[in-house]
Amino acid sequence: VQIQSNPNLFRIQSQVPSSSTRRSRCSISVLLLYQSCSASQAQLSLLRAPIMASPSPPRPDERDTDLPLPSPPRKPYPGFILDDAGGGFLIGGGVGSAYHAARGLLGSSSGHRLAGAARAVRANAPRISATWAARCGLYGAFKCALSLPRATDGDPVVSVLAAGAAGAAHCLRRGPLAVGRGALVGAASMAVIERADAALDNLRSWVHYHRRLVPEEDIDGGGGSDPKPDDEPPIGFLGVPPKPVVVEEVPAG
Amino acid sequence: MADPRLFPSGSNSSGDASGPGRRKYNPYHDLSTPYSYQTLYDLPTSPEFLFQEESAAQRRSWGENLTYYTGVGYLSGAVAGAALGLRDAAAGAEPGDTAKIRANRVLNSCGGGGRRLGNRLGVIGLMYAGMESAMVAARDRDDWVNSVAAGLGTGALFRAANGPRSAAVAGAIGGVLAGAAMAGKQLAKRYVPAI
Repeated sequence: VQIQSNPNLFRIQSQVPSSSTRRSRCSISVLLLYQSCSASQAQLSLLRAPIMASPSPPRPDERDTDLPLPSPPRKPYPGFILDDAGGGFLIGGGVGSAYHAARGLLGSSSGHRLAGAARAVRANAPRISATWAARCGLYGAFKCALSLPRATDGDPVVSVLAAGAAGAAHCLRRGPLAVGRGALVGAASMAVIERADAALDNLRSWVHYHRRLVPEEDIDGGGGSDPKPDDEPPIGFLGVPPKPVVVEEVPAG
Repeated sequence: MADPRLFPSGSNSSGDASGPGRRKYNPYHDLSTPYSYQTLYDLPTSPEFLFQEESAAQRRSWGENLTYYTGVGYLSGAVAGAALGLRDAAAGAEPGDTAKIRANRVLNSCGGGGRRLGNRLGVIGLMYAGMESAMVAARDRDDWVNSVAAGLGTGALFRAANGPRSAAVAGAIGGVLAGAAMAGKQLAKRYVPAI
């Protein structure tokens, strides 16, 4: 039984490092307003770049916010059909080649193991990669079709239904019983994958949130006349609502 | 305008002791440094982004590049192969065939042809995407040289098993096709109006 896998789950994305330093010729003062999860009051942060200084100080690697970074949005319609087909081709070809190479290595007699592995890969890898590319392409097409009336992206119900439809379409020539079985297997596999994806996302958010709870050590060190960045601005500062005046009630009598 | 000589560049040396690699901001420091006009107007032409992920989102990462080009290659090859298979099925039709036999022949020809050509073009897209991403990472630039070099490498690698002469011809064809595709893309971006 072939288990259909979500190609996005195994995608490894890394950013291309850019070592070019850009020189800023003007003074940049940026007011960043953001809200933290624990306290709902607005905090203020000032970023200032020196005038005509080269190289400029490095920009922050992550946005300074308590929430975890949102995952990049998916491709617009119908671009992700190509992406899904490509992912299926890559994963099917990679996993299929590894599996059949191992099987050829173990199944051949001594002295012919490498030749047996090469022969097995050449015989089976095109079939498996084409099968998985077709399945994932069908899955992307059905997901595109099912997402249109609901107008939502990333809906797990749409994903499960699309996987079931893709499994059914893939088994059309083998009869109605195979169609039903393919639909059930596809839908169940995608349900498991969606649940695993949601669990991974929750784990990532939990780790990110709990990392933010650890207090950061003071970068400025001890003393110094520099005002600390988390000093509260004075009352009435532009953009910050004034604090409520707290009056202590003295009991009469 | 204050006289720059009133604030020499060494006046903030006592303030530098606050931390290693960190100095206080002195707005008069750059006024005393002599600048030429070329230095003043040497501005960068690339867009400046406030956050790192904005600059990273301007192009696909290497993983997205890999899946996208592989998908484009496989699906275009599958459609072209299916069309060729349909032509072969029409040519191979015999009088007296039943509808079931005719449908079976059409499905077999389209499926076989689509799979074969789809696999071939998918592998070509995979090699091209990998080489282009490697060139971008190695050169740290994103221009037409990367595409042409990736096309050359893809063609040469695709025909490497057939001998050096066939590999050289295939590499040349790959480079020319990649350059033509890049030029076509630039012309389309410039002259085809956005719908």
